[in-house]
Amino acid sequence: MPNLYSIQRFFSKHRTGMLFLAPAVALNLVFFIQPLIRVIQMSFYNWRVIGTNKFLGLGNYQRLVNDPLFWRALSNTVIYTLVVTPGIFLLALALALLLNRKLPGTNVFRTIYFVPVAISFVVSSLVWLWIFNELYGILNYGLSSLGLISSRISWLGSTWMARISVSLMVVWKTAGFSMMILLAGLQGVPVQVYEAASIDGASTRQRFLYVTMPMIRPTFILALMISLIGSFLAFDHFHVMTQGGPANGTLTIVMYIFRTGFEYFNLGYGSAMSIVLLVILIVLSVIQTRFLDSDNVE
Amino acid sequence: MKLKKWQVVGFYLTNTLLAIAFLAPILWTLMTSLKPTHQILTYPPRLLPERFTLEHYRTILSVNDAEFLRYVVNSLIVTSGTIFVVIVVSSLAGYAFAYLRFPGINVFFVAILATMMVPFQSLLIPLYGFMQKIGLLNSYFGLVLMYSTFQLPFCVFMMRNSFASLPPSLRESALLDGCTEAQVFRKIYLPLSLPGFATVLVYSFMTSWNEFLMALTFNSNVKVQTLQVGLTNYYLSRYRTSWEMITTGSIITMIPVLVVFFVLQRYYVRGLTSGAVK
Repeated sequence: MPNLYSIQRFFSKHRTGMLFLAPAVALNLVFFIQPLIRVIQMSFYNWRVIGTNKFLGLGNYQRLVNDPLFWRALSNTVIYTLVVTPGIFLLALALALLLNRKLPGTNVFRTIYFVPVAISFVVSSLVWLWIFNELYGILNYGLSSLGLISSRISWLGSTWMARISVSLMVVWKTAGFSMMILLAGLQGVPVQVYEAASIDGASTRQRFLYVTMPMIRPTFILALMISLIGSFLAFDHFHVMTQGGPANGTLTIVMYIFRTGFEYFNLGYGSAMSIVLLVILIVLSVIQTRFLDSDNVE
Repeated sequence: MKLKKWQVVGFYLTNTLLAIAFLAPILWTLMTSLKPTHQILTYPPRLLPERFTLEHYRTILSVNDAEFLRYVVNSLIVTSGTIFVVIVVSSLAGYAFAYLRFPGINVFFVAILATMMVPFQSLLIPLYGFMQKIGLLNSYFGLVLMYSTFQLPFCVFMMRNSFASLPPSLRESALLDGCTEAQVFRKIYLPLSLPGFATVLVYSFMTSWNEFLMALTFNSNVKVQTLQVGLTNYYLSRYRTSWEMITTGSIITMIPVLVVFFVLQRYYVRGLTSGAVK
């Protein structure tokens, strides 16, 4: 039976360890666990900035199901994720395969492809807004002087163009990141395996499909999941480039949460949305760990 | 595998073209920021300025009582504050997780790593109310604490691995010789973990400097606004068509991260990919 004495002994025995851990645990409790519990609680209330809060039960969630704008934001986010993830991934894979050689200068190219990763989403968005500028933008000029377009394109003018243009910026900005992860995976494949496959008469294509692919599957999934999760949380670049428009066509979930909470001050309702986002993200994370674990077992 | 000559030529040709494509947006921004104003809004656009000028850099750093400079300073304060807190807290915790284990410590480890799974975006609303209540809205310190909390999982993980890769016998013999735990930590393990610190430093620098959503939500007052937020507001409200201001501001904002990245990229990349290969 634990009594006061044994608790006291436990603390004095492990005091140093607890002291070392204390600052991290304190931050975690105050700025993570505490708001996490609070957001769950708030999602059941009509939470007011001033005055008493009114318990609504599942009211906020019911409202959510019937809110067309919420479904719009959710589908916008999913569409954006489905557009941008393959883009990032294919370019990253191409770059990684291209650089997976021992030739002088490889490091220089690797660094260059990684440069946009270091720049913020805000700055990348501004840089591309200038490129996409309808009247004076270098992209419209370049395409028309090559004879590819006959009139100027309004890159952010319609929902689909805006989605594609923002995705283009994101592919440029993040491909280097996924490339780095894939490269690390590729370089973890022992050379002997390739040599053995070559000796057995495997062609380059066969080596890629039957040696490289299975061996870097965990890395693949990791790179894919990271860009999937990142896309789901998109905010900065849409805030800067489209402000959710045109006609809410690029309004993302995080953007809608931000508006609901800090522009309309519907704190309870925004919390319910946050919970939905949180659940989606946790499901994605669990899928990711499942995949990676099953790969480790094999 | 020997490469044929055409393969080598193809390798350099493809990579050079790709490298140009990757750098072009940044170079184009730089060129725009160095042009005299009347050469910016022209069609066809001119690739190189007729004459290079730094006038926009002077303007943006002095306009409106050097407001932009204040954003730079604000970002520097928040970023360096976060780096300081993160390095101290994560190295202490990392050391505890590596060597000072006690029953139940795994609960804390899981709680800290769980921060990685839960997006901070879903906690913005309760955090806002809380920061308001404790009076840390629109303050450097509030942002530093929140940045630190959400950067901790990666950094604690990094520092734990960094300490755990050192031989535990160092600690044991030092303790036998009469060192205290704090001395072992400070005098033996810290100096040996410099690469781990470098990774944490670069990660924390980049993340804090580039962060936007929390800065936008919690520090809306111009006095404490960070560079990313200030620059965004320049575009969204005041200087929407003044591309000389926007490109100049963009270049100034990206310089610190690019410098840190080029100097310490080895550590940054290693940190990012450390989870990828087991």
